[in-house]
Amino acid sequence: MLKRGYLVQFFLSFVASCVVLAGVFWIVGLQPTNGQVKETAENDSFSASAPRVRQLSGTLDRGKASKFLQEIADRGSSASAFESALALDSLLVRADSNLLQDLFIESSSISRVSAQLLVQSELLRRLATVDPIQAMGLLKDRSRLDQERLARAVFEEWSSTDLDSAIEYATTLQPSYLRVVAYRAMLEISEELTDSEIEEMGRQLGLTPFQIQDIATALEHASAKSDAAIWHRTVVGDQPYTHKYWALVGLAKRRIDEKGLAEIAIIGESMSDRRTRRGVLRESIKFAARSDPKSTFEFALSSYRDTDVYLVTEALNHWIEREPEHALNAISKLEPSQLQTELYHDAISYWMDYEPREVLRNLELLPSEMRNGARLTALANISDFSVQEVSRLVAELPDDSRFRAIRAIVGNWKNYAFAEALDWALANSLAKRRSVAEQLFEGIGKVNAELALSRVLNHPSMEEKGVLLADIVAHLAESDVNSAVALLPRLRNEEIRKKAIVRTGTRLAMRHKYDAAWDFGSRLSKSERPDFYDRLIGGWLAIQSLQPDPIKPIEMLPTSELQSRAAMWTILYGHAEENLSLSDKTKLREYLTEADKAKLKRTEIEITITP
Amino acid sequence: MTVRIPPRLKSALPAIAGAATACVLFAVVALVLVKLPSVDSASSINDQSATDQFKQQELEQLGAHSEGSVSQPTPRVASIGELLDIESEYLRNVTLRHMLASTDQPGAQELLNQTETIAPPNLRQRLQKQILQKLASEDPLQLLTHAQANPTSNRIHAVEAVFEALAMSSLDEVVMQAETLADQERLAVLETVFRTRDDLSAADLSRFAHEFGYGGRFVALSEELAVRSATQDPEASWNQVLEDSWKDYGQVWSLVAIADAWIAAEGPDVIYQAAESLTNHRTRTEVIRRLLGQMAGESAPEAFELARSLREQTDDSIFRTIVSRWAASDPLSAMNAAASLKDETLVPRLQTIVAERWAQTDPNQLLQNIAAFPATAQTKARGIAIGVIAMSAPQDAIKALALLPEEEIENAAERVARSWAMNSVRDVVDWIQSDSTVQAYRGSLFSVVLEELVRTDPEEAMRLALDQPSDPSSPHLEYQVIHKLIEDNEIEQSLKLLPNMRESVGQFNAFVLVGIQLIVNKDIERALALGEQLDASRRDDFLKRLLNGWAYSDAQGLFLSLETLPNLQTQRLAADALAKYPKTLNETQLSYIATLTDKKPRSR
Repeated sequence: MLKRGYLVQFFLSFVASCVVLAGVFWIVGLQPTNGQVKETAENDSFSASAPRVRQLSGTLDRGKASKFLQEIADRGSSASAFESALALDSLLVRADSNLLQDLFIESSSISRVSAQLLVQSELLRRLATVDPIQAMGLLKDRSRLDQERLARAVFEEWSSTDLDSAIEYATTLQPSYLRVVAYRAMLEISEELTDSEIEEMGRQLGLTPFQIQDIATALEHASAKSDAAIWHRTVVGDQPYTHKYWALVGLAKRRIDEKGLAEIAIIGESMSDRRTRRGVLRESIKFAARSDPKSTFEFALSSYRDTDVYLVTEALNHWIEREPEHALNAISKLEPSQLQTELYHDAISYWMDYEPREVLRNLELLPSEMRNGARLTALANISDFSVQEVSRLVAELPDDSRFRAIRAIVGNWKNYAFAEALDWALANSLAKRRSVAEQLFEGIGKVNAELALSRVLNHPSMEEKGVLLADIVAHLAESDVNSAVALLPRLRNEEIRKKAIVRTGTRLAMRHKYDAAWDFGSRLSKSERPDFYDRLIGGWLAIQSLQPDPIKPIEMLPTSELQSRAAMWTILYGHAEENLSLSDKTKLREYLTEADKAKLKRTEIEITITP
Repeated sequence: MTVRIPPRLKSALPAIAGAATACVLFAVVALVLVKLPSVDSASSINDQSATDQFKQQELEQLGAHSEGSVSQPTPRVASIGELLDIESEYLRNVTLRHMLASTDQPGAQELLNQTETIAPPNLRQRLQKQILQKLASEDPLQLLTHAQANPTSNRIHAVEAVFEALAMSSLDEVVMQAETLADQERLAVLETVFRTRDDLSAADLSRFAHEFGYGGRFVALSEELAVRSATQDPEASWNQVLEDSWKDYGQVWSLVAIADAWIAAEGPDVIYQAAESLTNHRTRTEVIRRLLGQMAGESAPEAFELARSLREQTDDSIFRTIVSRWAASDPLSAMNAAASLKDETLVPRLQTIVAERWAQTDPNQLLQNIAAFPATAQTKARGIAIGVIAMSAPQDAIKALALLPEEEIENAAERVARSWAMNSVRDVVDWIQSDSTVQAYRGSLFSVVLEELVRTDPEEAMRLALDQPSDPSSPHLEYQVIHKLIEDNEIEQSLKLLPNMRESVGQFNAFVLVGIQLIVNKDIERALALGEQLDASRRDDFLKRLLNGWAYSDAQGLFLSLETLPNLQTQRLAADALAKYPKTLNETQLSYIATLTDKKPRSR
């Protein structure tokens, strides 16, 4: 009994002690069920302090797999790449295709980018060992970048075990960039292929010869073969020029990526063909400037005498695209030189091209003598003016270039918002200024002309209404005479109508469109026509004087009235220059109307009397 | 000596023994947990028995779970050589990692050495990267020391692996250790940090980049990070790029990539939100154009309708891109869609694009379908098709050319000459000289191919130019030869050909062109001597033009060379030129110029 009592005591004490100790262990963090150790990484301002990632053990079910995947992702920032991959292996090698698919869908919720990229690629690699087509199906409706990244993982694995099936499937891929990715992935793995097999595979996938060559060269470069040898072989190779050019560009970019900006000079020295050299260096500078435009500009500036000055402008353009203010500031610090001036011009024009408003706001960054020109060009480049903005801009314009600037605004604005530009000009009494009206109506089409005519006719008060209406008709007539003629009946005021005809006729004559000009003139009253013809006939005669026969052009004129006027002036000019024969004069006189005969007689007497 | 135990204590002995046993047991367990690495912990990767157990169990299970596709037997390998027998890339990598997990540092180094014998370079590199990652996870600093002491082809991968591991624990350590690296390697380190530590805030990354000495790279690297993160939260990535310190216009590619991810996540209507948020018209147009162009590859009609609704906010270029893509797969539908725009200016341009794209895909099919084009566009489309045919089948193009009506021949012949010359300019020259169909257009056709001929055979190009009758166009061709050579900076070749030129205005201009190029290249003596080859009556003019060109391009250079000029007359002419282009001269220099010339300097 005693022994039994001892045993009971021993057991109860043992159990109670176990419970107490387990509690203590729990409190101090030595849980026997959790296989993690405390992270002892040295703390610093950036250090990550999460525990490292563990590997999966025990039986696998969906819940456990999902939790484990999240754990890998969460703790990835404190685990090394090797540890993370190892942990992931422990999960993926045991998952079947359904679980892999589920995990892939779940992986979208992984918050850390690098962890998500790793997990997704590895999931698809693993799934590709089981069912590559299913793996590819998971890429549907994803972004292009995702598709490229993940398709690569699938095809690397697929081609390692069954290249023929991988190729066959790759030929069906759409969009075409997936075929390029698949091709590259397959070549990356299938290093034993001959050149002709590589080409054949590319053709099967429907790639262009250039794509085939580009990928092959890129892989060769990536495989750390001698850069110099690949470069030299490409330079002297006899492939079509475009292929060679882009192959060199690709290689140059990789060289710069690996060795830095100084490589650009070495690349330049290694090419004797200037066209290729120029193009390759240009692409190289563009590539380098994309990630660090400032350093690239400074490099190009320091070395342009050994390379080419256009490299400086190329780098500058990229800097202007990103940090225009800084780029202009850098130009201002250069020695005054032609180069500095040219760089200013390039910079302004490039910046203007995409951000004319910013140029306007930053005119003080330019040398004073360039500001006015830059302002005008900027105003002529803004493609979405509003009335409010134009009014504000005009109010801020300096007096000395006010109207030139307004012309620039109107000339540009009317191209995309004619009605707004016209209304604004009318409301601000600017349309009556000849130069502004010229800008507004230049190149006017039928629709805009009708609109302009209505707005001007309906304008409540305007001193120069007639001139403007005449201008509208005249400008329209330059491109579309019939439409201009059709507008005339809309001008009810006789004086305005007459002004429009005369102005239009004169304008047409100035552009040597005499047939249309005569047509317009014929719409004047009989008493008004002679003056109109006299206004135009001098120019017409000057052109006809190049012809040996003075009679023939007159024969071609449309009305006897006009023929008479032309004949009279031909005689008078001929008289003055004494270059008409008697028979010519006689024939010409036959065209004269009675009124013109009388006028000629009076004028001839005057000419005879006046020495 | 006897010990007397009190009775109470004696009765408690079983309980004390029980408690003591429990304590001893827990102490043993605690010692095991504290002193020995856990089977589950990452630090267990050196535990041979644990990993061996894993390898045997898990890889066997890989075989068991693999539904037949993984045909290899369970890989149990001990050397790199055996690893190469595994077909599956994935299986090979998994096997290698588990080999490495059960290997210590010297063992991993030994495996790395073994990889040097692997012939296929990509495979070698991939395996080496894994081993380097393992070494870096064990002792990054030792690996760094080793990589620096033994520069090999995998040095950059070793550096990346080292700093990837260091970046996980301490960025201060990264800064310190990277001090010994070359500039380009430091950049690679910076990129590695941005790639691996995307958990850090933008402010922390910026601070790091600046502390690292590459603050100028911060925006570009953040932009890359935003693109990579776009799948997770495209809107946040989009806003990040819009709000960073760079102008959006220089970031169009990134914006397109992000918007593409955004559309993939939320559907095509997101494009309106994207367009709305881009305040700059040009940037907006560029982004929308590229996005719709991409979309047109898969769903051109949808892209075209979106373009219609976005036309006001962008410009016509969006239609050009879509139609070009569409025409590659379905030219007739692309043409019908273009016609539906009813825009007198835009529609003909789009029809030309359809013809160009159709011709690139199948020029013969385009010729057969020429009636599908409106009458006004047929001539151009025919010319385009024949031009493209000339690239691969020039004889077919020539036959087609002969069948054209007279008024279409010149334009089509120029297209043929241009595209054929890219492959064989010499054959094109022979054709132009011998084919009666194009006899009337020889001058313009030579002009078209001259650039290509100068590039490949400048002497032949000059001979050809000289063979042309001495009418106003022939000196022009000779001048074109020299001009092209100068454009390509081929000065010696141009100097060689200059004396062959016939006397003309073109000849004089060519001399000036070459002379100024010599000046630009600081070859002053030869530039000045060049005029000696000209007729005596033109030498003064030549000198004036040369000095003007010099003053325009480099006034300081000319000023500093004044005293080296051969005689006073040349110095005076130089002073005249400097008075014309005084912009970069200072007051003292201008005063000196004034002593040599009576010309008043232009205002600067």
